[in-house]
Amino acid sequence: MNHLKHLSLFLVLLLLPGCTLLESYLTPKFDSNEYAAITEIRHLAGEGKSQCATSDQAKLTARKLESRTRYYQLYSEQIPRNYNGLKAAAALDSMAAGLVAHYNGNKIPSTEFCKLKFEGIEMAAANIQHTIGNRPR
Amino acid sequence: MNLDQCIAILQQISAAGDPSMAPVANYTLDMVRQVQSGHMDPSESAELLRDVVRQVEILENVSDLRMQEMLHTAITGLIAIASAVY
Repeated sequence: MNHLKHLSLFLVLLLLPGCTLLESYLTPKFDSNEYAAITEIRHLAGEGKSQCATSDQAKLTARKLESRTRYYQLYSEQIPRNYNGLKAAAALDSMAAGLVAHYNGNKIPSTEFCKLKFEGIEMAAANIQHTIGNRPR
Repeated sequence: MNLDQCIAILQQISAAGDPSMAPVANYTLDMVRQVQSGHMDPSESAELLRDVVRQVEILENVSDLRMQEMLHTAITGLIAIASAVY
């Protein structure tokens, strides 16, 4: 019985490295450039939220933010096995594009709208950042 | 489903305290309050509603990756345990 237990543990030991190899093949590794890009997006969205009282400044930050989310989406595109990450990046870019579209319109966006938009982008970026930060090194 | 029912569901999600879903629920509740206060025009409200859908889409995609990462952690832990036994 004891021999059987040792044999099964030995087989598990043989199988585990194979599982790890397969799993590490399926998951994108931590990428410091990708992490820096999403951190900057989160930081910019946080700054924008505090600028909503001054629409010119908030508009500039919104444009800069959209440029960064577009860059992040482009960066995500060619990372292998990153289908989920790319979908998240595209959704984040849509959020920033919606904000800029309102600033490019005829009417100045309301302060409440500005705050909620920037806050939403900041929250979404924080969720993505959490995932990227926890990827295997 | 009416607005009160929607708000009740959002409050339930918020109270459950899931670290990913609760902030989105709170954000949506904030948005509903702002829309009800009449400080935003309809196009702004519509854009914010689209953002809630995008937030959920992001969470869905990020959650899948988190599960993969949890799997990685579990397997690494199992290897460590198995190594200690032998």
